[in-house]
Amino acid sequence: MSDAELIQRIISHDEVAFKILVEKYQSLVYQACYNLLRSKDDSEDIAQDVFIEVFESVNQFRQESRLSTWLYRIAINKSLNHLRKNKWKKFFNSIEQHFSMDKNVKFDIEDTSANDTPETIEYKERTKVLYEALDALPKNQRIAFSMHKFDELSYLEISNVMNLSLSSVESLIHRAKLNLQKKLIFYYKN
Amino acid sequence: MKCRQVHNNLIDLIEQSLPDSLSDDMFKHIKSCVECGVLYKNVLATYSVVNSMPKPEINPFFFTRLQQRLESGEKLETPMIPSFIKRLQPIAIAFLMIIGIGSGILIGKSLANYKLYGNASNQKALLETYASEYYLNATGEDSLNALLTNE
Repeated sequence: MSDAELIQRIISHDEVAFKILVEKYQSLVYQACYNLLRSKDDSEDIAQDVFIEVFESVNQFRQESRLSTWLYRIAINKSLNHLRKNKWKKFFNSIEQHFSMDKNVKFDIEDTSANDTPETIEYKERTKVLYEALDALPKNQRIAFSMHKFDELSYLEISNVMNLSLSSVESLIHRAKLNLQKKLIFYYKN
Repeated sequence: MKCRQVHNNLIDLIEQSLPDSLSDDMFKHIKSCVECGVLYKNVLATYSVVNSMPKPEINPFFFTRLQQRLESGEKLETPMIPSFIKRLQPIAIAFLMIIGIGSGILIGKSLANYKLYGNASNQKALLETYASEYYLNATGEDSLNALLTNE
């Protein structure tokens, strides 16, 4: 079933069509949220919010862009809103964690177990360093870079999702790489 | 080749997006310079995480949970409320500042009055102090009398 047919059937409240749409795009939406939020639970909640919004406002989709682009855009906007809302919450949580010395409550990626091999520990450490460098990037650079590298979107697809020109996307990703390079060199030289 | 040139092109070298001649020169330098060699190894290993990152697996009950949320009639937060609050924020801050400044002025004035009359220990003393300040300027009267008498 094509995306256009799916949309038409969802507009006429066909639940089977909605289920097909969710199953087709849930990984894409979840991945897009996870790349920005880096928490499995938060990403799942936001991905569900995305599909609820799709269900509620599917008749607003004008089919000028691809359905995946529209879903991406909603997922990224919702993830950024979530990050904005939780900025202060996270700040206070980190203070609380710092004082309670409870270091176990952190991002999913930092979960370590006693059975970890030295290679796994090193991989997790490198992932942490990379994520810290990514988090320090300006918002648009981070989004463009994540979509290109983690979601494997082409520059054209990114330009559609972000509503930017192709050259702006190229420039964003180029600057993101330069900034990452700078941050990684700084980290390993000190 | 200088170390700085290697540092400036490290990620392009890792992504193999440099001209062959430049890549060759950089690899030669990396082999001969210990510091750049270690740095290249570390940046390569960390940057490569980008390509080897496992994709997070979605909860198999994702749709079931979503369906439950939809059936319970859960509505999404309308973005109208935060934007409305956002617009009101500067007005509220300005209002609080005006109240703060106004009450500061009032407190300041009352403190100045307290300094003037605060040392008057009882009602009579207070009245005398106040009267001498505003109405009964004996010194002033004397000088006026003296002036008139002299004329």
